[in-house]
Amino acid sequence: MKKDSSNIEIQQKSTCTSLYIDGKEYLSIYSYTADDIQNLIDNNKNATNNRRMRLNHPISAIVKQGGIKMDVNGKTINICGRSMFYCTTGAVIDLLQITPDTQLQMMSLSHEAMMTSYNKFNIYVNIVKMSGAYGVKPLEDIRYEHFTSLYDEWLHAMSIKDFNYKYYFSTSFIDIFSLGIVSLFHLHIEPTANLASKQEKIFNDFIKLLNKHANREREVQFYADKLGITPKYLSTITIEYSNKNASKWIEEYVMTLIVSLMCEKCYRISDIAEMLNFPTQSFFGRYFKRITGMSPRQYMLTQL
Amino acid sequence: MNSTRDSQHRFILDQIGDNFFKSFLHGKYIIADNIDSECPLKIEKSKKIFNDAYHIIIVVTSGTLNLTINNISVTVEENSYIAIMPGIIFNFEECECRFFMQQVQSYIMQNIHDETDSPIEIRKHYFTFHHVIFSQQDVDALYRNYLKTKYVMKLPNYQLKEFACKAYFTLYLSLIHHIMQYKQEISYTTGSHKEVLFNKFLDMLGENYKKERSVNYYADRLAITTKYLSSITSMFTGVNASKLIDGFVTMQIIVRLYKNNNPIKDISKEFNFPTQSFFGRYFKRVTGIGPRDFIKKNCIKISH
Repeated sequence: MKKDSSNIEIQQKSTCTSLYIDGKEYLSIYSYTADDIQNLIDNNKNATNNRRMRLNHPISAIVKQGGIKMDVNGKTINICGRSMFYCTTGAVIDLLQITPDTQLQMMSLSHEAMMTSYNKFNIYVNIVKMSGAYGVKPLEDIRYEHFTSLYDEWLHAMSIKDFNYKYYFSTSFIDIFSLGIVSLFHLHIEPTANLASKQEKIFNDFIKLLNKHANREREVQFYADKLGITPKYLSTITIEYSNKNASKWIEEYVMTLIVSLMCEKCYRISDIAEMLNFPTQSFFGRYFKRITGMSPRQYMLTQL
Repeated sequence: MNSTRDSQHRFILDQIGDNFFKSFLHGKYIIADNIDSECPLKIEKSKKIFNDAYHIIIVVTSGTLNLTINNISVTVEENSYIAIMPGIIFNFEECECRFFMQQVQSYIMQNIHDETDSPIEIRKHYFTFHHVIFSQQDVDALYRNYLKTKYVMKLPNYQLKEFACKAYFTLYLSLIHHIMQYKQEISYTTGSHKEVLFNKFLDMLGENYKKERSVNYYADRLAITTKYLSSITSMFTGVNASKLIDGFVTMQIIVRLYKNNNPIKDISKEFNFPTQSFFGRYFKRVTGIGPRDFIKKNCIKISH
């Protein structure tokens, strides 16, 4: 994948450094003190009249020192110094206590960044299923040193004017953290070894096609045609991999896209229906309700 | 590749003595260092090692490393780096130094280059070596990256080790490319007539390898006899022209097999083989295993 230096931009603010690709925020690193976090909560309270914060993007943070007590999705957790915390889109955070010496560094990814990273490892991340997932773990010294120095190296690399490899440095940086989270928190990885290699290739191509076309095409026939096989065979392969038939896979993938767009919070339901090539908003509503059991509007109000 | 090759690369590790930390991941990533060793740092003169499939990067942190590369004496001093490309015969000479080394299969290296858009020039990336002097700061940054890779390589039961190594290696390469922009390479060129011819041959090979694989073709274009061409290639790489061409072409085939599991049919067409059968036989003759077996053995998978 070629990345032109012309569509990559670094923005640096007081507590945050962001990498923008094609005008969209791809990756941001925040360095917060206790005061910064308090300001963040206060600003959110003023804007939404709610002291709780709902995450729109997956984050992972290293608390360097201090201590944080908070509710995530109603469950109270304690994060002490030299710990790692990760949390995915949709989680609701209520900050209860924070010691004044707290310092942390946090990374927030766009959904595209996260999925690109995990797709590289043939790990399919179901954003809808993983919604609101989180984990806390104290790090052993050596891991703590590694992660904090990686943050510093990334920040340093982004600040150099003519560092031409910013995009690749960033994607490797994201990969290392993704892999770190998977291994530290023992996230379940679905094995691919059960498939014969020809079937595996077809399955991987199917995922690639979904990446490319799911925003417009939702018929199993479309994907089966592109792969040169029958819809029945495609379902046979996907069921081997994961116990879900092809149309369920497509549905889950499309739901991932819908939820990502809803999280951006700047699109109306009619916009989303159009962007995903639904003939009318009514079709979209019915499709959505069939899968989730509630209307898009209800979902946005209660789940996000 | 075949087992004699595998054992040849443990060979490098065996050659450099027991005071080194060594780690070997499926023959794809190999690292070694004696930075923390308390034993005497003496390195013995070794036997000749034919590097046919790896990119070897050695950074010397103290003392002096003496090598003989293609019959040229090379002295690598403190805070300098030497990169040995595939297609080279070298050996260690008696010396005393501390260094850290990373070695990666060339097809992975080229895959990373392709992804990061650094152009592959055959003259710079095959059949040659590079010796550059860095600053203390640069070496420290590279060493910090090396230590993280070392930590990952040491982890037992880490399913995603290969992906992590690739991510760290991409970071390492980004760093090296960035540093190299400002440094001057130490030149070992003599400007001799034979050297000029050798470089011309490599340039021609780089342009035509997909279509022309006969020694006659290149000898004719250079207006020399095939015997003379082979004597030149032997002088610079230790192998005759036909072996060199086959080695390089096979490497490019492997890059494509590894990259995205291209169907063998497509690759065989891309390289202008008369039939797929010819392609399979050619590949097997050079590497010892057929293309399908190679894919099964080497393509990146989650290990179990």
